[in-house]
Amino acid sequence: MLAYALPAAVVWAVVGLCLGALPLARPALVLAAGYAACYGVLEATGRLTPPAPGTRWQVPQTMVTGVPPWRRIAVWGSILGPGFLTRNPYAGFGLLPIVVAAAGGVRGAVAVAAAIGVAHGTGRALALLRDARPGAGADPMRLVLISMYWRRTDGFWLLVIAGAAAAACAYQFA
Amino acid sequence: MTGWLARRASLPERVLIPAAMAAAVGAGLALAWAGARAVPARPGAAVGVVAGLTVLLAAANGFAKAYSP
Repeated sequence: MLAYALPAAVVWAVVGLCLGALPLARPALVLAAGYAACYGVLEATGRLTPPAPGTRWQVPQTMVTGVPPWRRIAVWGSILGPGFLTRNPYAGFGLLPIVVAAAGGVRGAVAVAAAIGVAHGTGRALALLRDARPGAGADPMRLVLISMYWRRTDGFWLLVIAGAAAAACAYQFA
Repeated sequence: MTGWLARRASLPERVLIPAAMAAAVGAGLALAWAGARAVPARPGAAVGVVAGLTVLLAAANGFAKAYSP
C-alpha cells in the first residue's frame, strides 16, 4: 500500500505546489462547481457523452515483465498511485486538480493535494489487494456492470460536491 | 441501487433519479453551510468542506478504476 500512497502523495504535492502558487483560487472554485454539476448530471443519468477528460494510456508490458518484483511494484505504484497517466473512465478524477487550485495559498493547496494523493493511491492499492484474493476474478460482463455502478456513484458524489462548491462560492463572493 | 430503490418504492426511475440528484446537491449545500456555521471565524471553512469531500472522491476513484473494463 505504501508503494502506491507514497509516490501519489509526492506527485500530488508537487501539483499542489504549482497550482497553489498561481492566483487561481476563486476561478477554480467556480470551475469546480460547474464541472461537478455538469459531469454529475451526465454520470448520474447514465449518459456516456461527452466522455470524462483523461488519457487512454496503459502501462506497457515491457515495463513490468522480466523485472524483479520490487521494481515491478515500484513501477505500478508510481504510475497507478497518482493516477495521471492511466486511463480513467470516471469524471471525478478531473475535478481533483481543480479543487487543489481552489484551496487557495501554497500551504493549503499542497495539503489538499497530498491528502488527495494518499487517498487515491490507497484506494488503488486496496482494489488490487482485493483482486489478488483467490476466487476474486470476475467475468467481463460483471466488470461492465460494476463499472456502470461506480460511474453512477461517481455522478452522485460529484453532485454533492457541486452543491458544496456552490455554497462555498456564495460565501466567497458575498 | 437506484433500480432497487425504484422497485421497493414503486417509483419509476425517471422520478427517482432526478429526486436523488436534487437530494445529493441539497446534501452538499447543507454540508458546506454547516461547515461555514461551525467555524464562522474562518472564511474558507466551506472550501474546506469541498476539499474534504474531494479527498473522499479521490479514494473512491482510485478504488473504482480497478473495475473499469
